[in-house]
Amino acid sequence: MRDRLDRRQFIGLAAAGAASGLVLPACHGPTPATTTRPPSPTPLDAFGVTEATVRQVMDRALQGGGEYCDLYFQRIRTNVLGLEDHAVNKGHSTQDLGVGVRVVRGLETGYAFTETVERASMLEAAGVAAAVASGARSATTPRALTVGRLPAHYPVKRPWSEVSTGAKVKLLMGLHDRVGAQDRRIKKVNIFYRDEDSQVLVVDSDGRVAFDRQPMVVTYVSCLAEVDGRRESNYYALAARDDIGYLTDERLAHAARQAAGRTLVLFDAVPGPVGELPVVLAPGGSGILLHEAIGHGMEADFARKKITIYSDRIGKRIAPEFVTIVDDGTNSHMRGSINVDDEGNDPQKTVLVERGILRTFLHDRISARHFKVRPTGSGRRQSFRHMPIPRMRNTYMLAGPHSPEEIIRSVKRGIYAEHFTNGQVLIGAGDFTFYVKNGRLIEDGKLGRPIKDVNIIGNGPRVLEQVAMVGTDPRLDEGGWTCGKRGQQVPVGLGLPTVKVGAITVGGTSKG
Amino acid sequence: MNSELQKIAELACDRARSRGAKQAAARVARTRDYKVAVRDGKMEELKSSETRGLSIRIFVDGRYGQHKTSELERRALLRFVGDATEMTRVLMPDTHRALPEPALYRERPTLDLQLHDPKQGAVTMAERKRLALQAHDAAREAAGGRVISVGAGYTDRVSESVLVQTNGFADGRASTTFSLWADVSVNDARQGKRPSDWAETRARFRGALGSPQQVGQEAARRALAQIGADAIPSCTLPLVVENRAVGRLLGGLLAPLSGWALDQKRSCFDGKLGQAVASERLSVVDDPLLPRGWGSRRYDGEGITARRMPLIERGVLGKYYIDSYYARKLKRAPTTGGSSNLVFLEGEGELQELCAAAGKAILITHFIGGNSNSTTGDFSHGIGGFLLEGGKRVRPLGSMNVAGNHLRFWNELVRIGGDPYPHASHRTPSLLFRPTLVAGK
Repeated sequence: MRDRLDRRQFIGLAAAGAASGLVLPACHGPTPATTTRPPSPTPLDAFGVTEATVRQVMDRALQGGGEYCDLYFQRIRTNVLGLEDHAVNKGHSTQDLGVGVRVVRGLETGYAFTETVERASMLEAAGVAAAVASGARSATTPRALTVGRLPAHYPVKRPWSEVSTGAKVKLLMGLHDRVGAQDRRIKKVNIFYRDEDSQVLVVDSDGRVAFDRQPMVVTYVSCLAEVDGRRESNYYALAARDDIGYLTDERLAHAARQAAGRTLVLFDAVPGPVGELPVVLAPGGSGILLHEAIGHGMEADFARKKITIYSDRIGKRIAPEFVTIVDDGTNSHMRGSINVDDEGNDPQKTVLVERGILRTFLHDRISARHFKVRPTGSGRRQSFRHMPIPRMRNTYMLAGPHSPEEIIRSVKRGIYAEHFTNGQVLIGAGDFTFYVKNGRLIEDGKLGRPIKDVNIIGNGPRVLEQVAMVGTDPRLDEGGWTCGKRGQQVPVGLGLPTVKVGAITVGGTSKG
Repeated sequence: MNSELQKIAELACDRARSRGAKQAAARVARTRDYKVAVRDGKMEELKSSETRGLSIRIFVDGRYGQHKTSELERRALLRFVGDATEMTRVLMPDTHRALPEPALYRERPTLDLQLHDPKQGAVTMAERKRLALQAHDAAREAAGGRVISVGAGYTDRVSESVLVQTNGFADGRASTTFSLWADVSVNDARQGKRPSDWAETRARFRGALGSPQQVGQEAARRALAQIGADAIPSCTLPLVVENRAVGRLLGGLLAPLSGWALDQKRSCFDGKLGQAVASERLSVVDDPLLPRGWGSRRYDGEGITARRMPLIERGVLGKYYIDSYYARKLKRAPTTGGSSNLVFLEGEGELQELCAAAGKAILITHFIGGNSNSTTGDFSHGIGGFLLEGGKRVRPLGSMNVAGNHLRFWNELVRIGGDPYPHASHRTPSLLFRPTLVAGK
C-alpha cells in the first residue's frame, strides 16, 4: 500500500547568494589562501557538530567511490492545537532531530539517516549510504567549507518558540467566536492549527554550507451548518511561512467570513453538469490546475526517465501566446517559498512556460547534471529521513490580456470553479483531476446557481491548448496546500488569474 | 514484549505522572527499513534506516495532549515529557478525555497472528537487488518494443512497538513486511502519451512473496493495455470495479462511520445504524484476528481488545467505528477507533466473470483523484479502464469521471467477486454495479 501511494502525484490540504566572507578552515587538501578562522557561532554550531566531524562523515560517505555527498541536518519543533465543541481542547507537540546522508554516483543514490547528531551514528549512516557506490575508490575529496549567504524571503520577528500556548489558545477562541457569529445556521466549528520551526543545515562535498530557519503556520477553520435537518460543511485555510504577525485581526475576520460563506452557499447548490463544457477558473486556488496539468510533468526526474508526457516538448508551443507559467521559490512568506533548496541550491523563479512555449524542467542536482543545465533550486525533501527530488514551490500563471467580466460573459453554458480541495495527475498519460468544492453554473454569460462536490478531469497538454482566455487579475492563494510525490509531502503554493478553458470534462450528476 | 522499548515507555509515563498527570499512555516504536530500487537495468536507490519514536498521551488537570519525539535519550526524554505536560496544562478542559475503562483490555487474545518473520534479518542487499532486477527484466521483456522505462524495487521492514497505559495496560507487538513491485511506462506514439502502470506482491513472510516474474509481467501487461486510452461520450452503463481499485470508493463509505464524523455531525450515516444502507448482497466484517493480515492486531491503538465485528450485514449497517473518547461524548459503547482487516463475505467469481455478467459496461481499473463528502455522501472521482462489450475489453478508457452519493450508490451493487485483493488490509473484491452515469466527452 505504501509503495502504491508512493507512485501517485497528488495535492491536498491540508538565491543562496554567492559565497560570503565567512569561511571555515579546511582539514583536508590544500588550504585556500583566503581561509581565516570563522567568527563564532557558525551554522554548524546550531547542531553542535564540528567541522572535523562533518569532514570525517563525508570522507566515510565517499569511501566506496561516490562522486558527491551531502549531509542534511534538521531540527523541527511543531505545535498543533485543535478546537472542537467550543474549546481548544487538544494539543500536540512534536520534536524531531536528525541528519540524512546522501551519496550520489551518476544517477544512483545511496541514502541513510540517523536520529541523533552523534558522530558514531553519523559515521555508521555514511557507511550505509556509501554502499551504493561499490566501485573503485574515488578521487573525490570534500572541498573546504564555505558558508553561503541566503536571501530572506520569510524574515521572522518572533520565533514560534517564544509564543506561549495560552496566547495561541486565545487567538483561536477569538476565531471560533467570529465564525459562530456569522450565522445562526452554523452548528459546529472546528479549527486545526499548526505552527512549525524547522532549522536546516546543508553541507556538501563541494564545500557548500547553508543554514536556514523555516517557519510555517497553518490555520484551517471548518464549519458545519444545519437547515431543516440538512447538513453541509466546508472550510477555509490560511497558511504562510511566517510568524504570529501573520494572524492579523483582518486576516482572521476574512477566514471566518469565508468559512461560513462557503458552507452556507452549499444549501442552494444544484447538481453539477456532466460532460465536456467550458470552465472558467476563479483567480487564486485554481492554480491547482497548473500544479496538476503541467507542474508535476515538468519535474525533471520524470523527464530524465522519459516517463512524463512533456519529455520531448521543450522549446515547443504548448499553449497560446498569452500563457506564461512560473514555479517560484522566492515569493515573500508564501508556503512554498524557500531561502535555499534542500540540497543547498539557490531557489529561483523558474519560467516553465514563456508566452506559450515550454522552457525548462524543474531540476535537482542529479537531473541538472544529467541534462547538463544549472539546478533550478527545486531539490526538496519532506525531512532528513528522505532524499531530495525535484518538486514544485509556488506555481502560478502571470496576468493575461482579458478582463474577468469579459471572460465570464463569453461563456454561454459552462461552470465557474471557485474553491478546491485536492487534485491528482498521471504524469505519463497526462490525465489529471481537481475537485471543485464550490462553483457556479454559467448561464448565458452570467454566474448562476451554485454547484458543489464536482470533480473535473482533463488531459494536461490538451487542456493547456484549450486555454482560451487569461484574466488581468492574477492572485496567489493563501491555502495550506501540501503536495505528495514518491511518498514525500512538501508545502507548496498556487496562483492563477481568471482563466477560461474551452472544454474539459465535468464530473457532476446532472445530464441536463 | 521488547523490554528496552517498554522501559522507555514506562519512564515517560512515570515522568508525566510525577509532573501531575492523572493518566498517561506511551507508545514506543522502532522500525528498520530497507529499500533497493532499480531503473532500466541500473541501481537507482539504496536506502537503509532505523527510526525510533515515542508518542505519549497525557491527561492532566482535565486536559488532554498527545506529543511525539524521536529524541529518546534519557535526559532529552524527561525534559520533553515535562514540557509536554506543561503545554497540555494550559489547554482548555475536556471532561470526556480519559484512558479506556480497564474492562476493555480484558480477554486479549493470545493467539499468534503470524505477523513477524524471524528470518527478516537474513535478507541481504544483494538478494534485494537480485529480486528487483528479476522483476525489472521480466517487465522489460514482456513490454517489448513499446517500453520507455521500467522501474522495480524491493523493500522490507521490521517494526516493534510497545504500548504502556497507566491504568493497567502493557503489551507489545512485532511485524515484518516484504514487498516487491514493478512499474512500466510505454509509448503511445499516436496520442503522444506515455501510459504507465504497476504491479506488486507483498507478504508478512519472506517465503510467501509472489514471483518477481509475475509482478514484472503484470505491470507490463497493464501498461500496454492502456495504449490508446481516451474518453468516450458521457453514457449510462453498468460499472465493474477491479478489486485493487475498490479501496478509493470504500474509503468514502468508511469515513462517515467514524465517531468523530458522528459527533461533529459530519456523517451521512448518522442515525442509520440497523438500517439498510447497501444492497443486501453486501456483508462486510472487520476482522482483526486474521493470520498474516495487513490490519491484524490483538488490541487497537488505545489498548482495546480486538474483536471480530460485523460492519454491514446483508446491507444493514451493524456498527460504527467509535473510540473511547467519542463513545463518552456520544453516550454509546466503544467499538474501536479504526478499521483492521475488512473481509467481504459471499463473493463469487473472478473479475472476468463479473465482466461477462455485465455485458456492455465500463470496467474501472483505477481512480484518479476526486473526493467524497462525508457530511452529505456525495462523491466524484476520475476513472480509467476499459469499455466492455459482451464482457470483452473493446477499448481502453481515460479522462472520464464517475459521481454519485454513498447513501444510494451501494444499493446499486449487484454482484461481489470472490477475488479479494490480498495486498491490502481492506481485502476488496471486484464489484459490479447497476448502470451509472459516467462523464466523458
